[in-house]
Amino acid sequence: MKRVVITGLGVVSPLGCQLEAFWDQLTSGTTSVRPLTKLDRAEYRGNPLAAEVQGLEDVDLADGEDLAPYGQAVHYAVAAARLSLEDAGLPTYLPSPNNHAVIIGTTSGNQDMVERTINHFDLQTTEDELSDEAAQMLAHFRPLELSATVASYYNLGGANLVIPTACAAGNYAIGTAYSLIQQGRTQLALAGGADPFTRSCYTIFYRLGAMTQQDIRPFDENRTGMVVGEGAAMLVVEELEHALARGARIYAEVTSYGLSCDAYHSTAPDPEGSGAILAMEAALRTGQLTADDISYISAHGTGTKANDAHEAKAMAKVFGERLQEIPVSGLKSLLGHCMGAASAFEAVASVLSIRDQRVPGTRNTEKLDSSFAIPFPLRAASETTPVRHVLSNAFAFGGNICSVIFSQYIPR
Amino acid sequence: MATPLDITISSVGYTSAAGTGLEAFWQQVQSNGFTTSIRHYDPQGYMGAKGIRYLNRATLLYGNVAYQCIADHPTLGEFIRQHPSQVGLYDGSDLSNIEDGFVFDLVAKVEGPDKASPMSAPNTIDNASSSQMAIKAQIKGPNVTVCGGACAGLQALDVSLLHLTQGMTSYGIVGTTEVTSRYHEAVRRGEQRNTTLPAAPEMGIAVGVERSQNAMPAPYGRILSVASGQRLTGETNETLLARLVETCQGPVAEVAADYCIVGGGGHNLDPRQLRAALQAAGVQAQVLFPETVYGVGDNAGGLAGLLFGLGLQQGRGSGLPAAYLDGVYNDQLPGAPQSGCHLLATIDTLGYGIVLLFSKN
Repeated sequence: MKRVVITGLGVVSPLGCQLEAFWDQLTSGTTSVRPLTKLDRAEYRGNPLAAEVQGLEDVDLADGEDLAPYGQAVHYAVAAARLSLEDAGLPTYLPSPNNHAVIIGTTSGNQDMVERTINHFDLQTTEDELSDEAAQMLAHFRPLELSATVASYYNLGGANLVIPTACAAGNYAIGTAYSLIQQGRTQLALAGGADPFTRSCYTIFYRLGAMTQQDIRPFDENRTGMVVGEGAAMLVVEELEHALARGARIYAEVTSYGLSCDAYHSTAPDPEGSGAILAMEAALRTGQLTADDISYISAHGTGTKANDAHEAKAMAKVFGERLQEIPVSGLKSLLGHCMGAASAFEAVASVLSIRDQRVPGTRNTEKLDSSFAIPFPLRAASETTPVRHVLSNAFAFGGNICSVIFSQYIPR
Repeated sequence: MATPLDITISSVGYTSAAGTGLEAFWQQVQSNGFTTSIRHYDPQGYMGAKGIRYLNRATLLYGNVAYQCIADHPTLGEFIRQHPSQVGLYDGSDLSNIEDGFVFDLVAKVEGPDKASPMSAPNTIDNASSSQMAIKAQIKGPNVTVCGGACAGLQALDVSLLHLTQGMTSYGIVGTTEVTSRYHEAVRRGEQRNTTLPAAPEMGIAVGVERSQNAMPAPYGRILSVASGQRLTGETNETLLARLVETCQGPVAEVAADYCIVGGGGHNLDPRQLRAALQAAGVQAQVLFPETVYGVGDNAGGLAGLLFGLGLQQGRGSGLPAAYLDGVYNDQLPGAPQSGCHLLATIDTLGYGIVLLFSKN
């Protein structure tokens, strides 16, 4: 069985685009949640907040194609991919021939191209004419542009997929890259997630009443909701022998992943946590691990009543009393909920927690919800602790669920 | 290098303007062209009445063909009841959410966010179809949507093969849908830089797949290999496909394909250059472009080509209309296959291709 490792990381995030600064801020508990600026605040009642990308202008894309006609997520993905390639010590233009893959998860894809078309041509009704110029702008809606543009930009000739499994999509991408490498389809893949900030996405969570007007408090007894974010994170996922042969630095190993579906509701999780339990158990089983082996859980932890309750229930079922000993963190308290990029950011943090043997804290959570069957350690500050295996959970609308296990790389 | 596979196509679902089932597909093939618009997207009402007004057309169509796949299999329905987490649902999509996304955002912009209906929210995300099917059929295994443009159907099939091969699932139900709207039309028009390409015919297609060692008798065919990739610098669409065909045939080198069927994105290819590229790669298969007769699909084109190829393997080529023989695209009317093994190739406008090697049993 081929082993699969992580050798490069790149982020375009609400905490900036420099990997070490991103990690420093996560471990120091710096939040990226600020007042909304990308939409008219007056349109949204209360105190509209957002986690918007910072520092993209600092990412030098050299002499590549002009990305202005493309959706914002394409720009984010291209930038994050470049940073991950550089971090992996790879050229930013891969020599031909190659069959390197690109796999990107997303929620909104290029929905901002719909909004750009509506705004630019001042469309008012569904009957308004879509001119040829409008049609050419709208053509950039196609989600495949995310991965195809990254592939063309860096000359990657292998499989390329866009997986729109919403808020779990980043983990889906990493899992799919793992499968492709294990089955010998490719030796190297860029995998992660990318999402733009869109009026539609913001409005959806606003109308669902899922957004907080205060702080994001994952698993807190008084949690009040999530905050919409954006960005992209890409990981260089590589077959071990390929990485060793080129002398790559190995951050961590991808040990396994589990997929499931709640099959419960289009926007609400199963209160019993059935899908989450299936995914976590599948990841443990295929990784030939037990609950005792997990040293840290990077929770989905949105800060909404429904998500956190069902995730706590599922973790209690999978880990039993052992859950009381496992550090758990909810990074969305710091990053906001960056949709399809969310679990990719959490994957980056999981990998860095293995590198530094240090787990980030959870901001704002003051009192763990007392209704949870089994309490778990959720600390405000980061802590140094042995980190051998990390379980990272990601859940999405439609009940799409993916849990990934990252492990410390140990040569055999 | 592609991995040799031994996967069986054990059930099929098809819905179009001509009706449901494989006979409807062949009726359309025989009639030289597919009717563009469907009137009833779930004519049997599989997705039920409750909440149906919140389901978009792609979701109704996906549910319909996925249910046909279950009904077409002697044991799958019972297997789902007993092992719901061992069955995966896969949707090859591209623009299934564009109309919902457009309308939702238009309301948010023109009337204000407080007027946008939260009930519309799920349809604005591309994973709505397979998620709704999972809820309806209580399927709790992997639920994966992929956006691959013309390659989407075969990409979804590819992901299901990964899961089957790794033992993550016992069955995969792989569907793709083609629906049209003024927004779909605009994307196609914009992408083609306003050249005339007729609207894709509306259809839904699904196939059920499982490992051959577990399959029941009388399945539709076997999948032997798959390869996909993006056009590299210096490659053309035609040379990319030739590279993928070489990759695909590599692990099963003893197999000589009779035909290379281009299903999906055929308008992105020059037939003569494709033939030349394949011959340069040592592939002697005849190239067929059935889409030029029955209509150019978007994301459903790949699975439509698969149905066409499976039909050829079952001897349905002899009755094809002359249009499949005439014109610049086709070499000659498909005769009796020799090896019974075909290649299926799809290429998207963005330079992404996928090739499948499949055979009769």
